[in-house]
Amino acid sequence: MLERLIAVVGEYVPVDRQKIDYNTSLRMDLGLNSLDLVNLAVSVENEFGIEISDRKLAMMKTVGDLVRHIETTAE
Amino acid sequence: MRSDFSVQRKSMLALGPLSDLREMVNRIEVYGTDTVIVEKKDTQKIHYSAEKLCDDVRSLSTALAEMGFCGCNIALLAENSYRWIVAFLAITCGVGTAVPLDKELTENELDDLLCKSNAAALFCSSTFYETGLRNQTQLRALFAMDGEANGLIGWDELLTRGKLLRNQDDRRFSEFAIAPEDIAAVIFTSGTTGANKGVQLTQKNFVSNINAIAEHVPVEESTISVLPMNHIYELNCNILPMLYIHTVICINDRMRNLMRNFRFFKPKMAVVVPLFLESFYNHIRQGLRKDGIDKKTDRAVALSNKLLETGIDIRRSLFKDIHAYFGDELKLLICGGAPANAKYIKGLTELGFDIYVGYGLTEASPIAALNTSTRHHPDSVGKSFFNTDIHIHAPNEEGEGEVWLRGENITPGYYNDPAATADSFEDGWFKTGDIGKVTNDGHLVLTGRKKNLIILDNGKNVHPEEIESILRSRIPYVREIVVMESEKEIFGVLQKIIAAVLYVDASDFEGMTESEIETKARADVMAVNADLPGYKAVSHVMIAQHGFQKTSTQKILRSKVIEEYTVIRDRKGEDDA
Repeated sequence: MLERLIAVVGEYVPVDRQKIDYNTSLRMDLGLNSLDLVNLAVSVENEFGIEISDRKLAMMKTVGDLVRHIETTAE
Repeated sequence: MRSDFSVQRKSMLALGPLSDLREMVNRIEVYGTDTVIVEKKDTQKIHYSAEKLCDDVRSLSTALAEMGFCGCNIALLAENSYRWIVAFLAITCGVGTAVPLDKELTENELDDLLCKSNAAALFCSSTFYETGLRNQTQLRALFAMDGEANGLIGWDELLTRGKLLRNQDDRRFSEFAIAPEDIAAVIFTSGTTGANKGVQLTQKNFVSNINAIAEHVPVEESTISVLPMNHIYELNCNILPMLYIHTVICINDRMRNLMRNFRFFKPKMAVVVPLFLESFYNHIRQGLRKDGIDKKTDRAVALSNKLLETGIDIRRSLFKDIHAYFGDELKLLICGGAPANAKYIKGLTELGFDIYVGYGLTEASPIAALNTSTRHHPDSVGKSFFNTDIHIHAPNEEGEGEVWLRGENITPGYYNDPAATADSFEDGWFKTGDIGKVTNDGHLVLTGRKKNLIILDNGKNVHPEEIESILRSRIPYVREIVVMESEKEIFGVLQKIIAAVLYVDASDFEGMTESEIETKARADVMAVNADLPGYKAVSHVMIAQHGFQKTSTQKILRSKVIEEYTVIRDRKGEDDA
């Protein structure tokens, strides 16, 4: 799961994949602004066939938050 | 088929300035069956006519009055929609005071604001039913704006009630007593602590800005609503003035659909914050690079710039593929809410977009100065807006001083906060906290800020004191703290971030190295970040080697701390490189 997500994130931002883990901050470490986050969410939705509501997205801080959301919503 | 836009605008202006928001609703009825708002549902456009809008506002207003909400504060918490606009107008056309809430706030912050604003009722979309239900003890009513009402009072039910009363000759809507000084809305700029205040805006404040835009700002026939409507900038620069002069409002349903919706609605203008200019520009450049035509485009830009000097403008035909990406019709971007980067303004202007840059704040409802195509000055935020007087207080040798404002658009003060109100006014002028100067030809140039407020690129305001107070209460070993604006280079791009300098109690860290302390502090700040809205998250943590410099009354000298740690950050950046 984390590996697949890292692949999506890694395609989106030029970052060392080895350095992405659950605690990686989406804003602080990956430097994503609010519009970038929206675009990343769309990529994640397409990859995992899930829906991320705008409200949920606004509350997400780390890669771990994304993973937990995918785990609880993906079939 | 709609009537001619400029003729309609002229005939509306011939009626003279508006006196209140109800008069605006009554006037726009003249647009009849013409569309004033368009929404997207699945792949269809849903058109709302002026007649329907006016009818719904009157019915909803009458229903609220019947339920005993006259004179009450009524909160509004929902995504941008036709119904958001109807609810706002129904409240503010004589019933009471609207309290539009920011849907990005956390649940606790929303609970606090509902309490702080003394809201008697809440209009909410299904996303926020839980917020309403948690606050049932203080709210007298919860109104469901969409979906299954689940025991709440539904939108259709309210409208039916109001309509029925009006059919029985209930004329309350036209008989509400409205005075120019009545508070139409209380807008909370950010968060909930003492540092964050509810800005009261009167009927006069709202229509002053609407009248000035309608009369003086050249705009287009259709606009897209992208920014949240609870933000005064979207509400009173886009929604309300555009309704008044019949610029059709297309509502972007979700941020992720924005580019698709540009092509779907084909709007001619948009009101944005600087983050959008940056994102649009970078998107365009990435696309050009991907297609291998970036250098060719640069040559075309150079040629176009030369032709522009001779008065020949071929930008839109030269860059038609880029314009197709935005739906072919987009001509004008009005940018405000935060300082805009000149690089993106220049880049997009060269590609054929007109950009108006302005200066405003919630307290000025919101425009205080504006650069339009006819009053353009590249280094400034424009001349004082038509309803605003600008005064530079106590200028230095360069003419720079604090920007003070006066005019019909200026708030009478903060909600339930006489001390903050008294602090913000002097001799009838509102003290903005911004530092600037006025050029010989009357253009306002901003050079800094006196107040501590951090304004992010997306227009969000962050009060450092609020974050400091939260961090201090949650991290026991923090002795002193200063939260400040900073910049961080992320993948080659300088981004504005929030940084915190912590002076910690060394006795809590015996045997730990400096880097271990920093790691722990960073982890603890991250844990606090998890409970904050994303835009308030602290992105950089620095550990102070000594206590901060203070005044004789033991207040931290923020400017000294910021100066010292900006230097340290820059030096570290050089070392890293």
